[in-house]
Amino acid sequence: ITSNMASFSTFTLRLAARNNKPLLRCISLNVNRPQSSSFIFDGIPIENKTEENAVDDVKNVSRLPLNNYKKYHGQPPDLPYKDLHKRKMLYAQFGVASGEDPRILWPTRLKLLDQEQEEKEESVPFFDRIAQIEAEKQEAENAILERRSAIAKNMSQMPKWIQEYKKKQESTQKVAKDRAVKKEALLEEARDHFGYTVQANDPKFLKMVEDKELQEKTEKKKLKKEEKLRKSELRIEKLTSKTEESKEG
Amino acid sequence: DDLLKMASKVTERALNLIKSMPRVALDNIKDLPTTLYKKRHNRSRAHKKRGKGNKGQGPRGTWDPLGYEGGQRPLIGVVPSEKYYGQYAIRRQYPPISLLELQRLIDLRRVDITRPVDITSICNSNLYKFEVAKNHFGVNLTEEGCDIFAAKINLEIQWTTELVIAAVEKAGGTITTRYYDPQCLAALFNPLDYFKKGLPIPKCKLPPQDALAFYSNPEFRGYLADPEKILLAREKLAQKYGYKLPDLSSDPVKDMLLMRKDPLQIFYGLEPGWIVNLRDRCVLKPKDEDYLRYYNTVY
Repeated sequence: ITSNMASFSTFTLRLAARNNKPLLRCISLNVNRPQSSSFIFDGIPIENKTEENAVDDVKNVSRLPLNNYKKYHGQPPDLPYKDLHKRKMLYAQFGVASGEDPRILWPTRLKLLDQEQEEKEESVPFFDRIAQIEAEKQEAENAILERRSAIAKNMSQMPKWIQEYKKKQESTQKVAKDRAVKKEALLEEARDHFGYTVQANDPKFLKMVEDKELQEKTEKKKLKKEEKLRKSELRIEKLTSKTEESKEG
Repeated sequence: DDLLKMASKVTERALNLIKSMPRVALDNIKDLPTTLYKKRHNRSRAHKKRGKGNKGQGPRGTWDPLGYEGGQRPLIGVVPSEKYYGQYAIRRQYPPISLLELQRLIDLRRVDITRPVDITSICNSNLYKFEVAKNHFGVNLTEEGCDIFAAKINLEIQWTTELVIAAVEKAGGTITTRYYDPQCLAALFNPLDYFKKGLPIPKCKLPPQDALAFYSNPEFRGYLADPEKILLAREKLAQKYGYKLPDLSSDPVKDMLLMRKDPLQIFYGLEPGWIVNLRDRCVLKPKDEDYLRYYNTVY
């Protein structure tokens, strides 16, 4: 039997007024009535559930549809079909009074074991993950150190490299300079020879240069021959002197 | 033998019942109560277009592709693709709350510091909210108000900086950074709503690899860090910021300040796998070994 709070308090107020007793300031209402069917009504205790249901049916004069009446009184609805989700929600809402088995609230054993298997397969051991973090940190540090040492090494070699570079630049410049100087000399000679400033691409000038080169070549060859001859003569002299010495000795 | 007798009796009764019943016909059968019936459209000759109207793209099903703007350069062609914003939508976010705001909540008694303060306590004040659907992963405590913070509090948050940790520890409290996965956050944000669904309390997953570095770092008081290293870090921080580290061992509320949750646990006093029923005001706990093993193991 559900207690209608408002009616209860007004009843007590009227009773107190009638008996001229001081009114209690706070009325503790017995909200937590026992669910069992041992409530006394007209002096006859109601022992079993069917009788209580019958009593409830008699009391229901609301003419409301069944589920509306139940909803109003905070009872679980009478549904023709309840899927698993609906049953879970009913249990969550009404507790034991819903009439559902509380075991449905947890996942089924198969599903649980599947989930467990998936977690086992997809997970990496915790300490391995920590080790990986450490390893990555160490790697980053090492990379920095390596770069620094490489830089230091290269910087120590820098003066040498600068010198080499300068030398190389000098040599190339020298080669170019020599060539220019030579060309100038030739042009001067040509000027002397022809009597006017000859252009470098003039055929006359080029011919002159060619002839000069040929001449130089022949001279060189001659010189070489003479050198060779002289050297061979020297060798012969040496040999003869040696034999004389040996003879003497 | 008795069983057989009972069975035969039942079958006899059933057969007699069927014999006595009228023949199945259209007038004594009914559809199931849950059968759905479509709305009966007007079947007269006037309704032939199936709600699509006359001519054009609609009834002929020749719609332009989505995003097409009649030849005008569509939005997707106007806005350039900025690759550097690529991953920002899926990164973890920690909506901020300042130390000043937290102090205000404490002073106005919207947060009770006689008990450990975690994300649920802060959200229950109704002055801080986060949304799991927006990639929010918890509380980010910011530095504003670090100079006036003076509350001895056992604080559990998701993200913070060194200065905040110093401020809290200087005031005599303790601070922990803790990771919760989105399923747990949904439960933590509004536990009442969660329990009303009748779901078992979830077990908290470990943080992803890029977050694990933060939550296993004693400098940030991570919940997965070595407790001894945390003590050392406390002393170092006190020296760095120049305050005297209060002695916790002689504190009257030492037990409250040192209360910590298990890495799998999300509510103080409740374990994963338990179900809280609000109607019966009770907690349902599984007894089966498979269930106990699953809910109490990190894989």
